[in-house]
Amino acid sequence: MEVDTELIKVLEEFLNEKVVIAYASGFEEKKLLRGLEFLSMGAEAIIAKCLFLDIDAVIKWRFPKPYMPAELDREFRRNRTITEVKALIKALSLGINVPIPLYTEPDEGLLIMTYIDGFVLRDIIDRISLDKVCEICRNVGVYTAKLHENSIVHGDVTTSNVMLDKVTGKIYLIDFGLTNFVKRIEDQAIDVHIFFRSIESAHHNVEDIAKKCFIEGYRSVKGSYTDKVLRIVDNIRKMGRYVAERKIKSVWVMQ
Amino acid sequence: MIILGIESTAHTFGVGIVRDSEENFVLADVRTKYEPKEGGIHPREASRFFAEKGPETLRIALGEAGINPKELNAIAVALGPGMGPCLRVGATIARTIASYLGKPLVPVNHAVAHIEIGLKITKLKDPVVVYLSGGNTAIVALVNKRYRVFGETLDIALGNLLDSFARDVGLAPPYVVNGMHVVDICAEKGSRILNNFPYVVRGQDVSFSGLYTAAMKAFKKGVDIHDICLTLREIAYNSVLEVAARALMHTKKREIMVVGGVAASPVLREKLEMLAKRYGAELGVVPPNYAVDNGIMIAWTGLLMYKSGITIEPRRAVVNQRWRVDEVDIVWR
Repeated sequence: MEVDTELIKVLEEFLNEKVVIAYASGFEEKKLLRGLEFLSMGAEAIIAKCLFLDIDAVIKWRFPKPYMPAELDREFRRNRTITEVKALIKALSLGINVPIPLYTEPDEGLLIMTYIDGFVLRDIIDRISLDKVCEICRNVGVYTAKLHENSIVHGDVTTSNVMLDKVTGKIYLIDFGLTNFVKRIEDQAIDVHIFFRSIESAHHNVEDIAKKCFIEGYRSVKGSYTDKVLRIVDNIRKMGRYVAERKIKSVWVMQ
Repeated sequence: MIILGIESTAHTFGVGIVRDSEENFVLADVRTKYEPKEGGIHPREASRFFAEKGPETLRIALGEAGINPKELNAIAVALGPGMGPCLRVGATIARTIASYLGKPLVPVNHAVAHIEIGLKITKLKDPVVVYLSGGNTAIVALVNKRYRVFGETLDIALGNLLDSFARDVGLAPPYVVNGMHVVDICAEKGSRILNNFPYVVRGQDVSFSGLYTAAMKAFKKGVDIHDICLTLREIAYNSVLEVAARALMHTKKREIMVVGGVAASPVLREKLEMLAKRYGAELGVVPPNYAVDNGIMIAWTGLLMYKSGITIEPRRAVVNQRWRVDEVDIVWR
């Protein structure tokens, strides 16, 4: 893949850089960044694993999009990188499990953060127990509500952006690339709508339980405010083209 | 097997006749287009036009195919989504001939038909579908026997945005000159991307109404129209492309197909080619002749459905203006 080689070019300086660690007994010279290994390519960024200062880390590089006008592309990559770092730090302070940012270079669209050794919910949701699905979705609901409580909307809460740590079983929320710092209820409803949509479009079998448990989690933080959000979620869904049930009340609000 | 299909969802009354064959499957393709002198499509006027021209269109199609109507195996008709009055003309004609000839009637979803004819023409197997037309903007992919909507516009469609803007600033009609949309032509002389035009991508959904408002505001302030066209186009196209790239990565499919009237844009096509290359996917663009509304796509989809045993009693074949693409079971795939 050509994006791989482009990333190595961007990282060239880093890969050659060394740090000197001073001990009482003497000095040790170490490479700043090593063990680069490509993990995956997403729609807007490529993810690689590495050792950064001896910490297991991932590099998220928002690569240039040749189909975009260069100036617009640069601005998007820069802004989204900065926003992501800010959001990650805020989320950490709220006690939400997210990767810890270690280093960033916004003009390059580069972000280095701690590595999570885990499974992506999208890949495992069809082969884990319904109880587990419920537990995870309830957590995602709690996380989403906590973010909303603090004027953050994640912007892309999908099953691709939830991870389960292989060892500790901790549930992580990742990819804050589309995050916004707003407290409008409409934006919060869109977060919920996006999660529902990601469940409906790819995991039809667990749709009911996943939504129900997400709402439970959300409600445990936001209480009756949840119903207001769900009412707007309903309206958003009716804005889609050709929705037949424009007048039917949603089952989720009536519960 | 020979199927006749009737399309009348918006501005085109189309009659297509197809047979079950790999090559040369089209026996007849006749389209009568309603073109308003000014403004958009008025459903009542369009439906009157259809009622007037429909029977003649049908007669020409049967003549073109050179068949006796008795040789038809079934009649397919687009029952939605679309404009009610327009849909009713096609539905009435289809119910009538099906009853008169005693042939089965097949209910076809217009959006599904766009996808199916695209697959037939591009020969792609399982793509992420980017459906862009005057009335629709959606990113769709086949999952568990349904064309699921991964992202769509939350307000107006991409084609609607371009057409409305072009009309309201006096660039159109005509909307398309030499195969290029007038907004694309106007954008060619643009030199800079304007600030403060909203780029709205929410998860997998897009929204264009704010963009339209920003563009009209800039126009009223006297900003260079070419720069407005360029900014409007780049932001609109790129938000769709971003969602398409996300769907591609989310579904892990390796193909991407563009259907609908806006698919004809050479500018969009060039961008999609770069996108496909970047993400290692194969691109299929449905040629303009089949990307716009036509009767062939209804007939072809009707054929696939009829072979799977899907028919409807004429008295139950009512139109559905808001028949979503993801409500149809795709039993033939």
